[in-house]
Amino acid sequence: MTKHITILLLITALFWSCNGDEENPECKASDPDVMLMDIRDFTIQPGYLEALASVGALQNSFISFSSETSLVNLDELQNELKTSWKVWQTISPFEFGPATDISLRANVNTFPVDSFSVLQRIENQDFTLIANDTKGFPALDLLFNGIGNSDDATLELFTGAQSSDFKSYAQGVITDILLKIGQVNSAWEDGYGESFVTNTGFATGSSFSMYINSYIQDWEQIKRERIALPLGLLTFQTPLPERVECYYGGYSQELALAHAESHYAIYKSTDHLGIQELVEGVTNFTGNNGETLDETMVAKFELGIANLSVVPDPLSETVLSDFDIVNEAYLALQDMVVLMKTDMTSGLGISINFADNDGD
Amino acid sequence: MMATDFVKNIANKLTAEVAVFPLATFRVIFGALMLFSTIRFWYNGWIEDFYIAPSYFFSYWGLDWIIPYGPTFIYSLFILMALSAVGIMLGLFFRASSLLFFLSFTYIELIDKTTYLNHYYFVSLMAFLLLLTPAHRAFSIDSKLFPRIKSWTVPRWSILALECQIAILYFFAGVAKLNYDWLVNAQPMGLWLKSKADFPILGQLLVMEETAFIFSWAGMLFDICIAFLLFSKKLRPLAYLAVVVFHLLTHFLFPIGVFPWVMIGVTLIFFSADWHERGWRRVYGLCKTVWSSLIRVYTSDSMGNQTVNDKRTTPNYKLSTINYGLLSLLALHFTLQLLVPLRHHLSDENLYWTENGYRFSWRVMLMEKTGYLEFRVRNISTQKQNLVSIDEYFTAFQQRQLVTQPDMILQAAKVIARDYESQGIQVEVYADSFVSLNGKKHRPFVNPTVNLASLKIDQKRDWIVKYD
Repeated sequence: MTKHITILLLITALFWSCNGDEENPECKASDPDVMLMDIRDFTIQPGYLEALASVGALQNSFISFSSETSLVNLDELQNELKTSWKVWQTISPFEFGPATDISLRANVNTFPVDSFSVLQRIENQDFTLIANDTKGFPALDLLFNGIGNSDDATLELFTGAQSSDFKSYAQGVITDILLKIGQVNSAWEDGYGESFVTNTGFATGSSFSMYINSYIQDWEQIKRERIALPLGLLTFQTPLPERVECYYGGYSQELALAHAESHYAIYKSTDHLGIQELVEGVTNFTGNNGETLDETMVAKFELGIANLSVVPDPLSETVLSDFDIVNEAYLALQDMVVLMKTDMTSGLGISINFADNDGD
Repeated sequence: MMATDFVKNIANKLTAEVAVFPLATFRVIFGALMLFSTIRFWYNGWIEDFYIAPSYFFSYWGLDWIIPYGPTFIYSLFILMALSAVGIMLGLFFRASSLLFFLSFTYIELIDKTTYLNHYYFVSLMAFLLLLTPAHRAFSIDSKLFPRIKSWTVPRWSILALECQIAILYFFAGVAKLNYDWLVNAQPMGLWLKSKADFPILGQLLVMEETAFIFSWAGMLFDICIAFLLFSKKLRPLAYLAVVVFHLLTHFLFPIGVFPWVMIGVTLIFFSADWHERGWRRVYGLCKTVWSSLIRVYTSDSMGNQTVNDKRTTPNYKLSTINYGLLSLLALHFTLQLLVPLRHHLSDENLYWTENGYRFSWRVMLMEKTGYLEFRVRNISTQKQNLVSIDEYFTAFQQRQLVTQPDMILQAAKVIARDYESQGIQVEVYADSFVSLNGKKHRPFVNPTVNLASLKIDQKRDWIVKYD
């Protein structure tokens, strides 16, 4: 018996001996680590930096607009808003870790904006930003694209008696976006990035599990919040046009498309390792015509993007005028959700366990 | 008369007195593990997550009155459970403690199908059997408080029943692995191991296809044989080593909770009385040294001067009505234990797909299912449709279990129908759902044209799309 116990202890010792022993090639965690480093270095952190840069540019153009409130500068401001809102779509999928800690997505992109509250706060010179639906990109959409009935009307508000209140509010919203994205970026730079690449494996709480599950949830949001909701699929076929992402600017479809395309780009991660390499390793799956899971996903991505790209903007009008074209896009996005939640989840072994599990 | 003699003979054998030691060890270890398990459950925040956060609970048929009744009730129940586990461990008011533990534990497990685990079911059964035994006759506070119950022996059935229950768990778990996917495709083992590349040292070994086959077959053989090996005196040490290695491996590889420790603990009961006696003497010796060096007060009767072996003879025993009653109860219990895991044979459905008869059958770590589910309700008067997301009604944990389990889907559909009804809208409820089984391409699961709200809860599962 003593002999057995010795052997057992030796085995246990072997299990643990590698912890922290990075020099030993036997102990080096293999591919997954490398892949997480690629995901961090080529996808996530550049994404945050680009978002910061584009919101920074938005801030600069707002400063120009504030000092010289002209139609040209308003036009420039509106363009910068659109650009940075689109860049936001590329980091929206990373709602885990530092982003979850401060609810980044809800802070930056809760729609529809509560226009009544925003205007009331401006009226009361109350520039504290507490409720998520009074700030973020949708609030800027209201302020820069929609508050007047035309660009001239908007200009008037930013030059009229209350102009400084409007400016303060808008500046506050931009600063808040910068601050929130900046916080998450700093967290990644100050240690989370390090722990991200060493938190290997696919178990619940591992980096892969968090990264891919948040990616899936974010894709579901395109389908649900951006398309199904305004189309009336959740309200007994009564469309809710005001629930689109960008109601005032009228480019919700463009944003949804940018969102879907950024998901596809993250999936492919051309020139570096990403989700596609993981999915290529899934062997159990055989499609109806013998295709692999990766081939199936690529086809569905392209179908979803194709169907979404033919939906005309403004989406708020299309949901009222052409149910079918929006619904086609919805269905393609939905197929993708099914693939992600069943085959991809099983194949990669990233099912989330909420408790102990002894098998399904 | 022959038959009666036969029964009498068996009854006599089962009620013959044997040494208490294995049962006492079991009682202490079981109590300690249950205390640990309760504290761990609480510490993980699961009381809040599983019994307070949800708005609805997936109750078992006819047991819909078993609900948490608010935070105070459920927390009190957990406190009661922890205290009664201590009672079991120390042998303090053992009868009451073991009964209360069994009741509180089982009550909690019956609240929501979401939390069903074979090892919780196992704990309930062990607690039930334990409460029938006189496991407090020695090494217990009861035996100091009430000296008349003190004895170094217990009836043989009280140890045998626990051993048999353990054997049933392993054996049926092994038999359940005798299926095509497990043995021929090494699935879902292959799927699970493939994500273990980062495992220290063994990572590259674990992801090899051969390893999945070795694990699948070894697991099956282990489960089927282990109880028999544990019963064998000669092979027991080796068998127990296998138990330890097997369960440690599952502990390191899978998020299986306290189950490995429970099994490593409870299987000790298979060891001989002598083995346990030696253990107790060592523990007592140690404690005595500690005690006497601290305070030279404790002098009550330890085992020291007892001549245990003298008391191990079987008295000329006359079977009491109580004993007959107990033995009949056990006979009934084990008959059910042998039949219940086989009940799925009554149905011609694919067990892994429709899960009719899946629970309470020792199907442990047997399949990998992932699913997608969205409900569609149709307003009966306007015929307009509405998509209903399950996250409006159920917690993430409930959703994870719900999407692949037909009886839960049906219950969820009824919850949604009732909710709309309460708003004055009569609806039909349909489900769009897809499930992937053991990593194969997802297939449609619920028939999307069936109004689930109209189905009876025990309806034959023909509303699940057939799996060919």
